[in-house]
Amino acid sequence: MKKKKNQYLPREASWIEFNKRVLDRAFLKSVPLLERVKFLAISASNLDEFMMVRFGGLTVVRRSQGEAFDITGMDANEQIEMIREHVSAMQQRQIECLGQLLPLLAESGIRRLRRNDLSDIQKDFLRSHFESEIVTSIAPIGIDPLKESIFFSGLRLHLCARLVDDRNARLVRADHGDSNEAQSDAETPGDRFAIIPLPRNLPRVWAIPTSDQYSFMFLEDIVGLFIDDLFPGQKVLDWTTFRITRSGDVVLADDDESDDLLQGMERVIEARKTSDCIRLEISAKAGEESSRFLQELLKVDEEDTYRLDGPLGLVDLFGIAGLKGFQHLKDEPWPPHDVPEFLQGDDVFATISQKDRLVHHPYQSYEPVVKFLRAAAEDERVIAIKQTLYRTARDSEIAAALEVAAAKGKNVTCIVELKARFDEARNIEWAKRLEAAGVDVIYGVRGLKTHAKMCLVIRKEAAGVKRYLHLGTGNYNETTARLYGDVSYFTCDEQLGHDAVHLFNAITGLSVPQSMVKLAAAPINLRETMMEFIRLETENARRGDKGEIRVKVNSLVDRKIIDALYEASQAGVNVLLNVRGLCCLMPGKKGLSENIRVISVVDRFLEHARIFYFYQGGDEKVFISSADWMGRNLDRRVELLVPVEDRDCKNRLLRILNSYFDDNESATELQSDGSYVAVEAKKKNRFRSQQWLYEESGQLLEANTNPKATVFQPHRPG
Amino acid sequence: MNRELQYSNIEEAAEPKMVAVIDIGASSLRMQIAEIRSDGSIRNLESFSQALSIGKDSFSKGVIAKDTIENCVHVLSIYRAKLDEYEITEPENIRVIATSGVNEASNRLAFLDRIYIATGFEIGTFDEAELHRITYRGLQPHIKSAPKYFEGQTLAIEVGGGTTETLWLSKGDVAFARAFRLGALRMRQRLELYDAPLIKARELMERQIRDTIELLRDSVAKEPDNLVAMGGDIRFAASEIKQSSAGNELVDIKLKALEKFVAEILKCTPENLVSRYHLSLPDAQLLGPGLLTVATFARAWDIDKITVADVNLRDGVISEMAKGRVWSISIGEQIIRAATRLGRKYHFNESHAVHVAKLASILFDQLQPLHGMSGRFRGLLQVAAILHQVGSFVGNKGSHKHSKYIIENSEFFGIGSEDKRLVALVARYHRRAMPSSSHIGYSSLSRDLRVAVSKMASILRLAIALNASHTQKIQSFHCKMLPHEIQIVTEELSDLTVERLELRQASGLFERIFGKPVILNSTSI
Repeated sequence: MKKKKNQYLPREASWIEFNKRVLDRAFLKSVPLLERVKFLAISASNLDEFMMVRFGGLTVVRRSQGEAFDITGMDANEQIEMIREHVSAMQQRQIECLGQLLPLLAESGIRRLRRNDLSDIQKDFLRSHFESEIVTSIAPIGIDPLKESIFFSGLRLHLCARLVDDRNARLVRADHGDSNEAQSDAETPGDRFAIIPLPRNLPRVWAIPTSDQYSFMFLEDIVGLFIDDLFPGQKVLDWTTFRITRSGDVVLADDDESDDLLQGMERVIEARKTSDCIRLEISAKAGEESSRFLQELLKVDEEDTYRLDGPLGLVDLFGIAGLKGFQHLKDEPWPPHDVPEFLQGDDVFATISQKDRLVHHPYQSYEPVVKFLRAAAEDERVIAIKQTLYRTARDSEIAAALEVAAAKGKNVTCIVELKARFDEARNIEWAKRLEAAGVDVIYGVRGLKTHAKMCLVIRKEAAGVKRYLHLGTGNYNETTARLYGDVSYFTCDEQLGHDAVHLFNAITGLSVPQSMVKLAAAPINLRETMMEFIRLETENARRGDKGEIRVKVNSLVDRKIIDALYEASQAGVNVLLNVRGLCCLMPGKKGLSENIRVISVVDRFLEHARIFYFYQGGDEKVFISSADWMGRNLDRRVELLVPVEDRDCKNRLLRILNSYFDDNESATELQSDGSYVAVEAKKKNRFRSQQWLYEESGQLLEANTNPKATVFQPHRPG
Repeated sequence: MNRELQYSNIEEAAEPKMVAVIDIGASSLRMQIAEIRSDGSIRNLESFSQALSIGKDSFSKGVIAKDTIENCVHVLSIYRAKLDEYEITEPENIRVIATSGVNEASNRLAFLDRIYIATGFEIGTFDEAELHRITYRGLQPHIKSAPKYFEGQTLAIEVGGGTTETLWLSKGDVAFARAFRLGALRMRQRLELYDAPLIKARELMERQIRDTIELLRDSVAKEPDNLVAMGGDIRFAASEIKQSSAGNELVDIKLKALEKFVAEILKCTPENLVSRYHLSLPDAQLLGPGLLTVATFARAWDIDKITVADVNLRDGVISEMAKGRVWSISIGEQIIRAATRLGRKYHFNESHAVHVAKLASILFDQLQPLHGMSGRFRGLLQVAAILHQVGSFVGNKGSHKHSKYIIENSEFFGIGSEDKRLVALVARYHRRAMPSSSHIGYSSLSRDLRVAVSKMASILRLAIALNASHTQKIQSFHCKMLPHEIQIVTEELSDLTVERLELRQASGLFERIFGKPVILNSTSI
C-alpha cells in the first residue's frame, strides 16, 4: 500500500485544510462580525469532532497495533504526529482570531468583562447570581490519588483548583466522607487539588447588566471570582481551566467518519472501556503544579497537552454569535424564495405531472417538499408512500405527514436509518411514533446505511397507476434545509418510478435487486456507473474528441475514482471539481493531473449538494446524488445517482454547478501541495456564487409571479 | 358540449385494469404486477423475485419440505400484501402458476391446499402445452418485427430450473414443442449428489445436455438454422458480453464469446459470482449450468451465433390476460395447425373438417349476442370442429366417443389440459346423445363450463349439418335472429335439401339450449 506515496494528498491533512478554510472566514473583514464569531465557533466544533473521531480512532488503532494506512501510505503513528502538529497550530490560530474579534466586538457594543472590569454593583449582582443559580449546579470533586480514578466527561469545561489548608480555619475541618468539598489529609505533603466540572446546563456566556451596551462574562470567570466560597477552611492557591477529549465515543458512534477505521478498531472494543484522554487543553496561565497534576491524573503526555492563551471550548461562542439583535453585525437575511411552480394551484401532483421540477435549497423554500408529503398523505387517490429518513428535524412535518397518511389507511413504508450519527435518539423516537401510527418502519439494511434520499408516492389515477418521486441530495429535515445547499428533484418519469420501486423492494427485502435502467444505486452499481462515465470521457479524449467532467461533492477520498480521474486528465479530459471538504486528489501536477482543477467553496450556507456532469461526446449528462466520492458512500451505503433529464431542470442544474467555478469571493483553489489559495478576481468582476444563486432563485420567482413586466393584460369589456 | 362531462367520460372509459402473475418456479418465486389499458396495451408496474428452492426439494426428494412450504407461504403473504396495496383482489385478476418444481412433487396437492388456506391464492394448473403457447406468444412480436431470425428452421429454447423448453419453428410456425427434464437446478443438484470435482462437473453436465439433444434429434429430423435463447441467464450473459443491458430487442451473441464467458463462469464459485456481478446466490448457482446448456445446444448444430430474446413466462401470461384469453389470430392459427396435424395422423377428412371449423366460427361470431361466449371458446370450438371425426379411425361405432379419448390423450401445441377436456367433450357431443349429467367427464365440470360445452356442441352440430353433403357448397351465410327462430340465410342457389334435413335433426340441441329452432333459407327463395 505504500507505493506511489506522492500521488495523493493525505486525508487527515486535507481535513485540517478544510477546517482552516472555515477558520479563515473568521478572519475576513468582509464577513460581518458576528458571522466571523460563528465561523470561529464552527471551526472549534469541527475540531472537537475531528479529534474525537479521527484522531481518537487513530490512537485506538495504534494502541491495538492495528493497521490504518491512509491513501498516501502513512501509518497511524505518522498520521498522529502530523495531526498533533497541525492541531496545535490551529488552536493557536483560533485563540489569535478571538484576540482580534474581542476588541472589534467591544467596539460594536459587545464587551467581555474580566474580574478587574467589574464595578461593585456588578460584583454584587454576580454574587447573588452565583449563589442562586450557579453554586447549586456545581459540585467540586476532591481528588485522592490513591482512590480509584474519577471519570471526567469529554469536551466539557472543568476548573482545577490547587488548595492548601487555611491555618486559621483548621478547627472547622470536616471529616472524610459525605462532603462534596475537597478534603485532604493534613499530613499529606504537597498540594491538594479539587476539580469543578462546569455543568452543561449552565450557559457559558452570561450577560452582565451595564448601562450602555451588552456585556458578558464567561462562566469560568464568574466561578473563579467566587472560587474561595466553594472551599471553606481551605485556601485556593491558584486555579485553571482545562478540557479533555476522549476517544471513547468513537466506536459507539459507528458513524459516518470512522467506518474506514472500524476494521482496525474492532479488536480493541474491550480496551475502549478505559477510554483514553487523547487531548488535554489547558490554560497557558496554569501553574506548573496544576498542569503536571492534570497530566498525571489523566495520563496525558506533553505532546497531547495543548496550552492555550485564551478561553477554552470556543464552540460556546455560538452563544455570542447567536445574540438577539445586532442585525448590523450579521449577514443580511436571505429568506428562502418561494418556488413559483409550486405556488400556482394546490395540486402538487398536477404540477409534477406537467413536467419535472427542480428546487434549490436553501435559496428556494423547502415548502414544496413538505407540501408534496402533505398532499400525498391527504390525497384520496394515493395508495402508498415509500420514504427514506436519515436525519429528521425535531418537529418534522415530514414524519408527521407520514403519520397522517398511515392513519388514513395508506400503505406507508419508511426506512429509518438509526445509525445516523448524533441523531440516533431523535430517529428512534420518530420511528416509534411512526410505528404506532401504522407505518411499516424498516430499520435500515443490515450492514448498510441507507443514505439515499427518496420519497415515492404511488397514486391511482384515471389513466393508471402513476408514481411521483422526490429525489434529493439533502436529508428530509426542514431545519437543515434552511442552512444546507441542496437540490430537490420532483418527477413522475415512468422509468425512474419503475427503478425506484425496484430499489425500494430490494432494500425492504421484498425482492432480490433487479436491474435498473436510469437510476444507479450503491452498493449495487453506483461505483461501476461512475467509473464507466469517467472512462467514457477518457476514451473520447484519447480519440481526440472533447472530454469534460464537472463535479460538485463534499469529499473526494476514493482511490479508484481518483486514479480514474488522473487517467482522464492524462488523456486530456478537462476536469473541474468543486470539493467542499476532504480531497485526496492532487490537482495540477504535471504528467499526473494537470487538467484537473479543484476548488472549494465555504460561505454562509453549507455546501451539501452533489452534482455530476459528463460531456459524453456532446450528449451531456447531468446527475444529482446522495453520495460523495468516498469508499463508504460507494460501497457501504445505499445511495442513489439520479439523472436529471428534463431540459429546463438540466440547464438550471448546470448553471448552478457552473456558478461555483466562477466564484472569486468565497472559493479557494487546491494546490498540488495540498494547500488552498483564494481564487482572485480577474479585473474587477467580483462573483460570489451563493449570492448569485440566491439572486437567481429570486429572479425565477419574479419572472413567474410578476408577468406584468413582460405581458400586458388589457381590460376587456364584460 | 359540456366539456367536463366529456372529460369524465373519457376517464371512465380509459380506466385500466390491474393484474398480477405469480410464478412459483423451481428456484424462485416471482411476481409481476401490470396494468392493462383499455386498448389492450400492457404496462409493467412492479416485479418481485425471491429465491426459494422448491425444485431443490422436489427434484431430489420428490416432496416439498415443510420449511420450504412455509417459506413459500411467507413470501406469498408478502406478495398478497403488495396486491392489497394496489387493490388487486379479484381472483380473475391474479394468476398463480406453478411449474416443474411443484408439479413433480408428490405432495403437490397438500402444497396447493396449504397455500390456498394460508394466502387465498389458488394455484392454477399449468401444463406443458400452455407453457408452449405462452412462450410462443412471447416470441410472436419478435417473429413479426424481426422475421429474418425466424426464416427456415428455428430452435427456441429456454433453460429453467427444472425443465428446458424447446419450440421448433418452421418459418415461424410451430412444428414441434416439448419441455425436457433438463434444468439448471437439476444439473446443479446432480453434481452435488455425486460430489463431482470441478473439472468433472462440466463433463457431467454436458453429457446430460447431449442426451437431451439426442432426444430432440429423434423428434425432429431437420437441422435448425437459428437458435433463439430465452431466460434470465442468457439475457444476463448477453448484457455482460455486449456491455449493454439487453432491452426488448433481440440481441445476437457469438457462440465463441458465450463459450468463453461460460468457461469463466464455471471457474467461479457461486459466491464469487455474487460479489462480482451482484447476483443473488440462487441465480449465481444456476448461471453456469443454464448457460452451458445454451452453448452446448448451439455447438451441437454448429450454430455460431445465438439470438437472445427478452421473453418471460409472466409477460406471456399477462399478455394472455390482456387479451382475455382470446387466441390472437396467429396463435389460433398455430393451434389449428397443430390440431390439423393431429387429425392427419388419424386420416380425417381434412377438407370437410376444415370447412366445418370455418362454418362453426362464422356461426359463433354471428350468434355472439345469443351465446355470449368469450373468444377462448371460439378457439376451442374450432379445434373441436377440426377433430370431431378423428374417432372414425378406430371405428365408426361410437366414433364420437373414440374422438373424445383420442383428443384427451393426445399432446398438441397450445391447448392446456382443461381446454383439452372441453375440446374432447365438444367433439364427443357432435352427434348422438345430448350432454347429460350422467356422463362422466361432463358432470365433473363446473356449471359454467358445462353450459359452454353444450353451447359449443350445439353450434358444432349446426356447422356439421351445413356441410352435410361434404361438398363445401355453403361458403357464406347470414344469421337472422328473429324473436321466434334463427334463420340462416345463404346465397347458395343449388339444392340444399340434404343440409336442411340434417339441420332439422341437428338443431335439437341448439333449440334445447337457446329455445329457438334454426331454419336454413336461401336468398333465391
